[in-house]
Amino acid sequence: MIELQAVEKRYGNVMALKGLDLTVPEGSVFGLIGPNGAGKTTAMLILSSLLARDGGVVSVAGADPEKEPNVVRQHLGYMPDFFGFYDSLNAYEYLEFFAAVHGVPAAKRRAVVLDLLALVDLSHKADADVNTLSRGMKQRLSLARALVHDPQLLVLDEPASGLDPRARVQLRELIAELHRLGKTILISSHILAELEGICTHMGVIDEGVVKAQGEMEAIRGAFTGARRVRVRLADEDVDHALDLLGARPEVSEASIERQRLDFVLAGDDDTSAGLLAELVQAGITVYEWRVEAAGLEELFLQLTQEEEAAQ
Amino acid sequence: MNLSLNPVLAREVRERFRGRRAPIFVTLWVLGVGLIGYLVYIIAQYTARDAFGLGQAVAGGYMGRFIYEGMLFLLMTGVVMIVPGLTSLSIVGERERQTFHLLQVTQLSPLQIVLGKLWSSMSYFVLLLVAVAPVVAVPLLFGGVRITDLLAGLGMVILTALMLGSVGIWASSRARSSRGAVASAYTWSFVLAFITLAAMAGELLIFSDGLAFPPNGREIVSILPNPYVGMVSAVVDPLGSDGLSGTPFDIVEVLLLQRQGFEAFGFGMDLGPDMARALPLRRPPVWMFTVGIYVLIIFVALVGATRRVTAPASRIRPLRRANGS
Repeated sequence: MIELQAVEKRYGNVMALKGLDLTVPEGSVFGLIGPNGAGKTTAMLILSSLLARDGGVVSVAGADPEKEPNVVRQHLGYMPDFFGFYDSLNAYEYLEFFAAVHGVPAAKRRAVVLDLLALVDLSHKADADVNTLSRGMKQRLSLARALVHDPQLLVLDEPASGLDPRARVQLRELIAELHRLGKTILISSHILAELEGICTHMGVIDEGVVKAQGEMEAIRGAFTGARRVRVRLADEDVDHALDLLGARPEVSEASIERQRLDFVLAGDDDTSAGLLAELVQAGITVYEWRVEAAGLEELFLQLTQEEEAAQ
Repeated sequence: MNLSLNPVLAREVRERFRGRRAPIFVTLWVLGVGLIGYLVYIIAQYTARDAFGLGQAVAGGYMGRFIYEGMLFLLMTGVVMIVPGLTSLSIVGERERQTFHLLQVTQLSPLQIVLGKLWSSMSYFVLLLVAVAPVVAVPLLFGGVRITDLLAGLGMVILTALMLGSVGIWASSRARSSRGAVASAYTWSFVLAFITLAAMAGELLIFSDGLAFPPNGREIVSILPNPYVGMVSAVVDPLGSDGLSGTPFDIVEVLLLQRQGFEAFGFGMDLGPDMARALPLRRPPVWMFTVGIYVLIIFVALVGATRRVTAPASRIRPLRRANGS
């Protein structure tokens, strides 16, 4: 659905994108994570046909945003990281205006707008001035605006920024619902917890390049060298287990607290299973063996730390 | 392109006329024009009585002409003062409200966005014009003014509004703050309306011996884009004669007469239409240049604004914040 190859963008002397490669598959919820200034918004502006690139190839729904911006705009709904509202328009009129400028036929506009208000749970606010809506409501109205021409692809730039916990939950539910409806969603955030649980794919962007991308589980699998393992043992076996594990090169940061033994495992599921089998064969009673999946935050830190170390 | 269906125009009109500000402004405008019109009427009455002591019929025609010319000057000044304010916030306002990108990613073409902004401002201006139409039409009751005179004068007023509106849209598309846009639009407006007159004095000083006019037979370039001179030129004949002396147009009529190489008799004197028609012209009338220049400015301004609104852009210019940070 989206393909960026070796995309470059320069602002004066600063290279915002240094050969960015990104592939967003159709039907996915793709989380683009990265710190502030990583190039997320620049990449989104380029693929939304708002900003021209300095190099590389971009394809959105099969069209180049620079050569065929209108084709891209037919297929893409863009929600920037800010609210844009007109004075004196209520929620209904606001959506109706954007339906008109997106070319929705006049005869269909009313039905489209009412459906969208229902989808984002704002039917009861149809007559309310948009300036009087809460931040969460405005964000949902923005999402409805991005959907007004029924695009296949949604580009959401930091959609949960500044929202309270309840509004974030509502937004996540809404995104999940849109995914069920078959939309492809590219969503950026620097708050990693926002994307956890709703994304099927992710990409990590830092300093204008993508460090890693792919399906969530594949990404986790590729960067599981630092998974934490929590083990509960019989009291008398703790020291023996520590001796055994401490001798293994893939185990580090081991610590003991009562019956619990925690350590960091550099290895995959097979390595984990092998270690567990070794303990059992040594006669150690293992009550619990829990391998914690790496969170986005850990993955992100791991990726960016590797970069720092390389420098 | 069906302009009547331009959604930007529809929304702007809805937004502009919703709330109390628009009716209050229109009311004040009508009252202001009416009051000034009345003052012009009083002045015309005194001038007619003191200068000629003519019979009612002639004095009535003179007064009609006097009021008509006074009202045209007033309307043109209204255009110079109001139109830049109507248009200069249009595009920079979208950027400040953070709706600019939202418009750019729609199916609207950049030209539709620009024209929607221009037509909405012009529709407001036309409303102001229609609101004072009864006051402007008063001279027809007195006589001395042909309907063609009225149409020619109003035509130049509307063309000037369209030109200043286009310049305002262009200034708005370039500006990084609403304050900058307003300042830029008014600067262009005042340059055309007033600085060109000062430039005329400069031309005289530089190119003439003493205060000879026109300077050594040269064209007076600086007055060609001036809206007041263009308007008078469009209404009176090429030799600057409205057939009456002591009317508001006289100051420009003298200029137009001298531009054609004739000595002025002094302010308050007029060749009269018969003599004016009999004399050969040295140059085409000023209004032809003014119209040509304005059409060119409108074209350049709208093309410039459209280019600024076109996406993808090579860069996205940040707005300048009001606190200067």
